[in-house]
Parts: sequence; C-alpha cells; structure tokens
Amino acid sequence: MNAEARKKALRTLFAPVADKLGYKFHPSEEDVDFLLEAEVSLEKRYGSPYCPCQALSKERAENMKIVCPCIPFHREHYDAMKRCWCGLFVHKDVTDPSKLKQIPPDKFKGPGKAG
Amino acid sequence: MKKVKMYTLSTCLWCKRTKQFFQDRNIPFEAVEYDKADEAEQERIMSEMRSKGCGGSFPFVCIGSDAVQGYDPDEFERLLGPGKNGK
Amino acid sequence: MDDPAACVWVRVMKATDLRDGAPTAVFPKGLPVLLIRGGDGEVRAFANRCPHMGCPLSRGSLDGHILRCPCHDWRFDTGTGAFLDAPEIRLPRYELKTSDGDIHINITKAAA
Repeated sequence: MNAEARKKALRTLFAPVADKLGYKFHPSEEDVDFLLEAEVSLEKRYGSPYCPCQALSKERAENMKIVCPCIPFHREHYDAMKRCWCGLFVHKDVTDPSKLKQIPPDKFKGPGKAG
Repeated sequence: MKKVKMYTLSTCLWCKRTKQFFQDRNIPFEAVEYDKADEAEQERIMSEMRSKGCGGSFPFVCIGSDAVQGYDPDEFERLLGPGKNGK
Repeated sequence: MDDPAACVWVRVMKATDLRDGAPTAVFPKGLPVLLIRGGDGEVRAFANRCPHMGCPLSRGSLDGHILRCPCHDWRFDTGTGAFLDAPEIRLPRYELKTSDGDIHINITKAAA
C-alpha cells in the first residue's frame, strides 16, 4: 500500500475512535496531512503508527501507550489541553485550535495528582 | 544572548514550528534530532530531559538554564527576555 | 416487532467444541465473530475486530476476563466488551443462543 492510501486508511480507522472519545481531526488539513504522513513513515519503520511527537522507548508497554490515537492512555492530560500532544486531534468543542497550548506532561496536574 | 539548544523529532510538527520560531527571530540555536541520533546519544538526551523533570514528549528546548517542553511561543519569548533579537 | 428479515440466526459450532479460555474465531456468512466463554461460564459473541485498527481479537491473549489485542495491547472486558482504558469504546456484541447443543448467532444485530 502506498503512503497516500495508508494515510487515507488511518484516517478512516481513527475517525470513529476519536469521535467516541469526544475528539475530531484538527481542522487544518495541512497539519493533519503532515502528521498522518509522519505516522505512516513510523508505521513502515517500526510497525505501528506511533505519535510523531513522542519518543519510542525499549519497553513495549510504554510504546503501546503512544500508538495513535493515544488519547485513552493520556485522557486527563489531553482533556486539559483539549488536544492530543501532536495535535492530530482536538476536542470536538474547539473552534480555534490556534489558542490551544501544549502543557508539558510533568506540569499537568490531573484531579488525582493535584496538591 | 542566552544560548538556545533543542531536542526534536524529525516527524514532529511542533518541533518544526519551534525551529521556525527561532529562525524567524534570527536567534541562533543548536538542534539535535533525537530519532536520528545513535543509541548512546539517545540515552544521553533522554537522561538530560529526565533530569529536568521531562519525559519523552518533544520538542524540548533549553533557553539558558531553563527548559521548556512543548511548543510554547509565550514562554520562549519570556525566557529570551529583552534583547532577544540580538539587539 | 422485529422485521423477520433483520433476524438471521446462523449455526456456528457445537457448544462442546468451544474450549474455555480460548477466544475462537467463527465466520457466520463470512462475518468475523469472536466467541468467548466468560468466567461466569456464559458464551458471548463479539465482533472479531479490534475497534482500534481492526486486528482479529481471536489471536489475542486472555488473562482472566481480560482479552488483549495482539496488535497494540488494547484490553477488553470479555463480559461486557468494554475497552478498559475508555469504556465508551466497546466491542459490538451479537445475540447468541444455544439449541440442540449448537451455538447460533444472530448476525444481523450487533449491539455496540
């Protein structure tokens, strides 16, 4: 399968998953295309469409938490940012994604981590 | 001017935008692509990031002695402070 | 009342052939279905396709009541079909009945 076809396939696979989680693709087609292209290249090289903005480790369990869409494994953090780390997905209620910020994982204090 | 150093991933959109931020302001920086580095270099980078309380999320930008994880133009501006454009 | 045309029961296998602890793939009229006997002894039928990227869950590993997808380790509750890390995602479940020792699945109705 060529890269363009695989990008399309990933889009089709991910859309219903993101939808159920309350997210949608980033409104910028250009950004989505760039990120999906990166995921296709990661999938070709490492076997899975990993997050293009997070590093792989030697631990399978850790790596599985950054396979796109990785929202379920970082739910509180991403809900607080209203986007996922790489920005492929934004919260459904987001109308202006340019205002969204990346909050570093260590600075994010979820309800269970507050204090 | 404060020294700017960053660790990035070649696949990361926000790493690209971070580089663009500094390029647009003519601020020189050193950038190392983590995913293109060899294993020993990756281990060194990861332990440096961890020492600043950061995990494997990119970009990772050091401005002087401060570190910023993620693309945060406001924070970049703040840390660069006055005279950031080499004036 | 259900439309009779929308209710197609298909025999898939003998109930005694379904082994405990072994997720089993069956294909009534070509549909990929997963049969699994829960810890409570009840047999359930789910779509044999991970909602993440479509991998066949029958090739996954079972640990108690948790089925792990072979591709990216997504974990599902074999009692409800719920994805453990985000319960709003669940495996579509098919109606199942046993008659004369055979397992039958209603392939037209999957409850998400």
